[in-house]
Amino acid sequence: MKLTVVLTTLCVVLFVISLVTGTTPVSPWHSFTSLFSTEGTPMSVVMQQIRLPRALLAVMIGASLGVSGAAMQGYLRNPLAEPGLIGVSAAAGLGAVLALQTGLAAAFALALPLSALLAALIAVAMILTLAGPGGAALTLILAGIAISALASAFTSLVLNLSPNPFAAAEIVFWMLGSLADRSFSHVWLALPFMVLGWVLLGSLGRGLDALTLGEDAAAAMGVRLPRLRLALVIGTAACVGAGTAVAGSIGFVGLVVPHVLRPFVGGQPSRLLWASALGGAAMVLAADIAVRVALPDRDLKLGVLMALVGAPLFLHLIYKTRGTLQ
Amino acid sequence: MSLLTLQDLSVKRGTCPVIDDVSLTLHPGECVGLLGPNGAGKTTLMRAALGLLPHDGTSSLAQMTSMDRARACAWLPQAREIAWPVSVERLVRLGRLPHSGTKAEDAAAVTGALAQMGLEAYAQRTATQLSGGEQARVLIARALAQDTPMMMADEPIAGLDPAAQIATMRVFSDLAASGRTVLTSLHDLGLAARHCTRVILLHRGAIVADGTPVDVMTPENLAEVFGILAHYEMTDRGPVFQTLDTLA
Repeated sequence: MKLTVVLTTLCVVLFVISLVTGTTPVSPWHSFTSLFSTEGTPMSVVMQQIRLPRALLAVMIGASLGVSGAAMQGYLRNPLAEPGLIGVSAAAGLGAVLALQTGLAAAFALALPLSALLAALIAVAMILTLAGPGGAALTLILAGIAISALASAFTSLVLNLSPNPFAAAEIVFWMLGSLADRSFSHVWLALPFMVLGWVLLGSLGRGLDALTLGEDAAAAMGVRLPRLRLALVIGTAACVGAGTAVAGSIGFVGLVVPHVLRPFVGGQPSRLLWASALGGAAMVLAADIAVRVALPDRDLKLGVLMALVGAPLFLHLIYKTRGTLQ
Repeated sequence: MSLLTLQDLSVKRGTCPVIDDVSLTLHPGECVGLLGPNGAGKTTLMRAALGLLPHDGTSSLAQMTSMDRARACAWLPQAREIAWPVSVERLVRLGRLPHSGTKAEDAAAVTGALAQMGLEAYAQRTATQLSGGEQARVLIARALAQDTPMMMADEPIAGLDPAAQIATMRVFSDLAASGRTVLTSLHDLGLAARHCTRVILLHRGAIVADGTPVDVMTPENLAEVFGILAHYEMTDRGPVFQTLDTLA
């Protein structure tokens, strides 16, 4: 309860800071009031059409990555699991890269995210076919690794064959992950998928709690494991696929956030789901503020900063808990 | 009324039958020991009876919906898995998942289960930091908290200290005495002889003998199934069973 309040407050504060952070030299209060202005001043346009969708996307993507990371770790009963494990983010990346390479991305505004979503959808279908309807957790991981590797191989091939260095640079920069210059159309495109993902993953709490005792005991307590796994795969794919489609790949959130918050929820997977959603939103908001404050004129990519901060943080956690991890 | 009826239950691994045409009925008030050497099919029989394995023939539990079954029978698997560092109290509370009772009912069941296993002092400890034997007792308490008419346990006392083994078997026989049914596999034939009201001897996937301990644990059956020589005697302090030697 206390944790929810702390994390929610943190999200709200960071959301407001995100709104008033930017290159336009305006006082925070003026920019904040412009958000609610209906006069169409330049500042209100900046606030309503650039900064607001950017902050909303940070919340949505952070929450999606956090909750799917917590669900994936709970299902696999492994603190090293992360949402990218089922290969959906790699596949969505490939879809986006193909859109950039073929020039489709320039044809109409949402061509790139739509192409990424389509690729994510194909990846989910492949995973569910490969891993089968029942089956153990291990087949899911192996299928995910195979699809990840395949998507990465094709992405490398596209880069390899790209006609000129500019096209290659565009692809590489997109893949680094960023929330800069996103609009409300991105919000509306990602939101339905993410809401579907949140609902599916949010319904897994009881089953994930029971899985603390292993698959056999959980099944005997009335948890239908094939259904749980289906909801997990589709929910994670919807969350991560939509996130990657609009912002590129942003790593470490789904891995680090559940890990950091686990001690605060007494290790219980169901409580970790919601805590990680809030924690993920706060982390992505904070990182997206940091990229604008640290190097305002160099377009530092969100995914880069996240890995730069996330990896040492993770190392520190491992160092601190190595005695208690078994 | 029976709590579990198996009719011609068979489980095949490939073409090889692991459980071969087993039929049996368990009644309220029975504390049943499932005996047999390694690989006899004890675990397979119990998992198939619960419907956790594909099988031929019928099992009354496997025919229920998964939620009804979870309220009819608690299952304690052999693998003692505690994936996350949760508190003992919270782990035992997982046994309440199949129930939609009030918070007070859940709390009472959890407190009762902890008390039955002598774990009151451990309630706030982190389950993953306990010793192996203590974790085993916590997991038994979890199954007790499920508060079902029937309990199936796969080698629940393996690795416990002697006092905890006796205490656990006493919990099981008390459950049976209160009108429930317990089916537990175990390798300690002496404890089976003292605490079980009925024992089932399983060998190569089939039932060799089924009845009271004194009728089933005969020198002939023990020689045939386990290949051992044992001493079994009724004393004024209850049945005493001691294995003596292997048979060549």
